[in-house]
Amino acid sequence: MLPSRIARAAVQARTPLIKFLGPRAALHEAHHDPTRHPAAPKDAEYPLKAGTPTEATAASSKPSSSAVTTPGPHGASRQFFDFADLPNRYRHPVLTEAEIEAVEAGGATAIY
Amino acid sequence: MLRLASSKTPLAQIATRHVRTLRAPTFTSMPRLYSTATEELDLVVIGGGPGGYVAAIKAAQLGLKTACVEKRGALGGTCLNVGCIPSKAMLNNSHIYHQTQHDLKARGIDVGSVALNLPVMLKAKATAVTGLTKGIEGLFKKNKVAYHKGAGKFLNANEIEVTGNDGTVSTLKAKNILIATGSVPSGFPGIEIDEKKIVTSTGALDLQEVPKKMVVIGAGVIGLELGSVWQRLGAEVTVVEYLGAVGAGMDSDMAKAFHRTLSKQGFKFKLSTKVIGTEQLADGRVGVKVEAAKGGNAETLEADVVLVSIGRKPYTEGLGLENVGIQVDERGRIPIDSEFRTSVPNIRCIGDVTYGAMLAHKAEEEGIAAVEYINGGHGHVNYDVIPSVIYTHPEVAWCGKSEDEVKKSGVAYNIGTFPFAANSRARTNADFEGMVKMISDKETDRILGIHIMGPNAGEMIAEGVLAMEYGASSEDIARTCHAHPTLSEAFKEAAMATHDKPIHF
Repeated sequence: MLPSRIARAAVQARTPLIKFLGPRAALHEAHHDPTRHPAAPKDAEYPLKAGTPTEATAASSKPSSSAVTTPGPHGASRQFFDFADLPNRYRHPVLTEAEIEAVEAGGATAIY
Repeated sequence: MLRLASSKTPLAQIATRHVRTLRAPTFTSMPRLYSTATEELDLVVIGGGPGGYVAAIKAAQLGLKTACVEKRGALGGTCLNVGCIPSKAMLNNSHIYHQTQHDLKARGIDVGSVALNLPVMLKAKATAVTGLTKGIEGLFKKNKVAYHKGAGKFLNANEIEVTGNDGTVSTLKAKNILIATGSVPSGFPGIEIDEKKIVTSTGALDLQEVPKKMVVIGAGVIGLELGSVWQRLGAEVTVVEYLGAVGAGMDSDMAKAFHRTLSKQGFKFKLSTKVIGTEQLADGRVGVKVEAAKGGNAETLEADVVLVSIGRKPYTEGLGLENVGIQVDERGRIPIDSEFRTSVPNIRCIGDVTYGAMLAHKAEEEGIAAVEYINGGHGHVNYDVIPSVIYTHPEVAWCGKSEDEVKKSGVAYNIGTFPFAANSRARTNADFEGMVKMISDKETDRILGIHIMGPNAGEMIAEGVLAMEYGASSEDIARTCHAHPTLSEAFKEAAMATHDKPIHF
């Protein structure tokens, strides 16, 4: 018999381990940055590396319909492309509809 | 300048992007020339399966202009069309047939001759599928999600070319794109699938006659469920598994019990056995050449139908990932970070096509979480508590860690088990095969894993998932009142057995 344990059990109310935190909206939202995905394999590369769109790869390896091959300096051939065939990364960023609308409307009032 | 940079207006956004050379934007950007869309969407979801359609609806509910592209011609993905739903229709109806044949007499119900009408059973399956897929279309309309029937392909990071099922081609332009293209059954090297005699799960759900002999390659969830269907309808089923246990990595105690139960039902198992290949036999049947996993003991199993169910692989065919520079890993999965971003920040990815278990409910959770991140909030998916269920009879369900995994982690633990044979409701129903097994941390009593084999295990595991999600101890469950007489009392008694002692065993 352990009288002290019995006495303690008699006076102590059980505290459930389960915690109810209330509505999520009421919780303090801590700043969060993306991290490695929790289900990713241990050997998976992180941070993720952006690959080169194969538009670029294809353009450099396979001449597209608009590619023109001309002789370069020192005899090496060089390819030239139509501007429309350039990969996105060489282009201006795509404007959103809201941005276009703001520019077309003058925009100054939106800033000042 | 400072005012420009700190402003949130659209012009300021352009200004900050061109901050070093602030000038009027030039409209020479070529991508717009490709676009036929007049409206930029907030989100395009590629794939209308459980992950994709749930994400699309949630996004629309959050106020995002959303479109979903699906090429199958019906929403719901593999799950609704050729997976979870049709298999459950067949499992349920084949169970009723089997029970009527073998069980009703002992319950005092005499029936006349019982005959299988397979075409009607298949039609009932199709009716269930159609009803549910049409239901999702209704939800899309209700939530104003634009549904595009066709194949989506990346043109660049903001534009998706949609080749409609009617042949028309259009372009969708979006700030965010979510890849939810799911998975397809893995093939077996050297075995050609014809979906008639050598089938995947898709073909196994649509067999036009009950095979006399069926060989199932792979003793995972799909193989055991579909094997059960045809075994109940009269097929002699042999399951070949390379590993030494059945059940897709379930707790080893449960795997052993499940193996015994299925064997009693008439399944034949060839564990630790590898498949070498198949051959066409003279009588039109298929020979499956197998031998021991370690080599030797070669034999040929004859079958009318062979089900190849060795797993599934991510599906990215024709998606044009190369056009945006996204590379898949060695298993064909699209790598993502904790917020479901791919290597292209405005393109996210969820479900079977990326990391984690290939389960519909996991994809649904991810779909909602990904959209919440897109909307600027927090997403929540607890990968430690994703339930798994095998819908055989008895069902097997589990969540959290298996005993082997806990042992491997080095954490001291308690185990409690409770058999359904000691549960009053299970005894009353004369359906008491199985048990509940609970594992908790020895020091804190926090539950680490729950494993159930028994009637209605797939529903019962929800209580375990909820308890684990809230960080409950086994004592918390043991002290929670459960209605009498119910099967769930077995769950409570297992919790009592984990932290102290059960009453009825």
